[in-house]
Amino acid sequence: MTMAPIASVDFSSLWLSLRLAGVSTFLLLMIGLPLAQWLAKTRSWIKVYVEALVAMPLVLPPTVLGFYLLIALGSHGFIGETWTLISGHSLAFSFSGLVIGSVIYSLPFVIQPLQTAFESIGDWPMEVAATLGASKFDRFLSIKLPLAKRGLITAMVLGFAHTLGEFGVVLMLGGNIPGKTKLVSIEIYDKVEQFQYAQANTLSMILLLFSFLMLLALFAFNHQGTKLRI
Amino acid sequence: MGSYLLKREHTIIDCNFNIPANGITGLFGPSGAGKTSLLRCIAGLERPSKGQLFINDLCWQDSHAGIFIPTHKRQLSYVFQDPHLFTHFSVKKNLMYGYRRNKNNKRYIKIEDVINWMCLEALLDRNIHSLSGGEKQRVAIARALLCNPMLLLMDEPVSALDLDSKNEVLSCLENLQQDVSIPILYVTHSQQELAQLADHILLMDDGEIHASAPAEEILTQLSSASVKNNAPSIVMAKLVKQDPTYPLSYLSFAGGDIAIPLIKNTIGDTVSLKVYAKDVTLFLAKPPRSSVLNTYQASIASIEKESDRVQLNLNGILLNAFVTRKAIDALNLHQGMKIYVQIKFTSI
Repeated sequence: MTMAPIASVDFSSLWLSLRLAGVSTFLLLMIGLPLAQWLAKTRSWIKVYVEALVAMPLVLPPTVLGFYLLIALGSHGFIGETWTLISGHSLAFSFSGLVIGSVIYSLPFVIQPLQTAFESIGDWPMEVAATLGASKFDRFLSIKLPLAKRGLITAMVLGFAHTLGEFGVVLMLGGNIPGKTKLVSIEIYDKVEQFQYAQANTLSMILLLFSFLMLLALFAFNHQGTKLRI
Repeated sequence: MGSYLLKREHTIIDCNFNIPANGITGLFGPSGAGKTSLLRCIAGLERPSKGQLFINDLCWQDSHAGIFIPTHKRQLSYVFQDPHLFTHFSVKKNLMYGYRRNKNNKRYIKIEDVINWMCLEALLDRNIHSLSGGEKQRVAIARALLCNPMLLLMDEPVSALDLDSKNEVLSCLENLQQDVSIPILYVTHSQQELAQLADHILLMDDGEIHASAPAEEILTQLSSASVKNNAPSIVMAKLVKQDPTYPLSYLSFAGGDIAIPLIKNTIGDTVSLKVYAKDVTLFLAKPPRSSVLNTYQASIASIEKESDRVQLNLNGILLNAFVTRKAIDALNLHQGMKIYVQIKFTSI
């Protein structure tokens, strides 16, 4: 199969995807760290409900999630209306809307490795640190995060890669506005529709190699970790 | 100094206690007595429904006044049964973790001193995973000391160690006792450790403190209570003279002087002697001069015919002797009777 020369391909959709993945990963960690910490510690009856909700994107067709997000974020939806009142912009068919969709869609990929890592650490390192005079936040930064390093890196890589690869949710939510909401996955679909296989091939190959290298780095890191732990 | 009422699924603690301002206080009791729970309450790791705790004049908890100082603001350190070192740090970083975070404490303990007491010089740059059990626990104790605490809590720090490591850590703790004057609350279920370390003992069972007294007093009570298993009475004695020709060591204790096979300690050391009931012989009259060694006058504290046992009071120290029922009747032994006692052999 032929490949379009790199110079002739429009990379704006790829950059947009990378930017979306970066912003989403950052927000995913901001939400995921406290949420995973809470899920690992709590004995509340709400826990199972929260766990089930967070895991929903794993089983739902992305179009279903995208559809309801479109309703909620649209100008008649509760969130969308409030957002428009405050910012003056519409949330659907915007980059911010894509970020919200991506964060919800990738949340289980961030929560699960973090929660497992926090649970496996147990209570004692935090108790010991407390008796040595470390405050709650200090203990979290100096003890818990370093001990959960593998889970943290897995969460970041999976969150980033999964956001980069999403299609259904962003198609429903962002539409197809070039330079604004047109992500690389949608661009590839468009090229195929237009029978521009060479262009689609170049973009696909870049995405494929990039994803492979990212996962390779993750598994190499985790494997090395195992060796060091023995 | 404190009182607690803690109710959990498996533990109920309801106790009042005082801890002397310095020296090692042994918290002794069977497993399940609530010793660890009490320690965790003192540390603030558990929050009991009712509780009061004062250290000197400082209030750490008063449930009536709604005061509960969180663990990291209590000037204490805790040594757990498991060393619990941070595996992502080196030995040095483990040691400095508490030191750096307690800058405001009055620093009466120097880093170099702790390294000497706990013999850590050679371990500083080692990886945590390469340390033996005893080495890990020594690092953990040093890490706790470097917080410069007002109170050091130790929860069975040697019970998970093999015999050699145990002795290595215990001897470090004995040295420590001479150099540091902070109060240490030491949980154990070993009478041996109590005899070696404790100055004062709290007896705990079923979540309650049953007794609080100087170590010697409680140790004798304990050994008389457990004599059915042929457990020894523990007698604290001070080494006064070494006689390598025979070879014998002479020690003095509350009942007088005692000679035992030569031991390696230095003069002035306090040694705990174990006196087994089988090694105690009774005489109605003062025995002839030939066997005068280790003979003392005592009175009969109690007689238990069904277990062939006579308990003797030797100047405040309780000893046990086995005497058959027939002999008890034949010799007409009775409570309060003055009698002579010979201790045949003593092990330390």
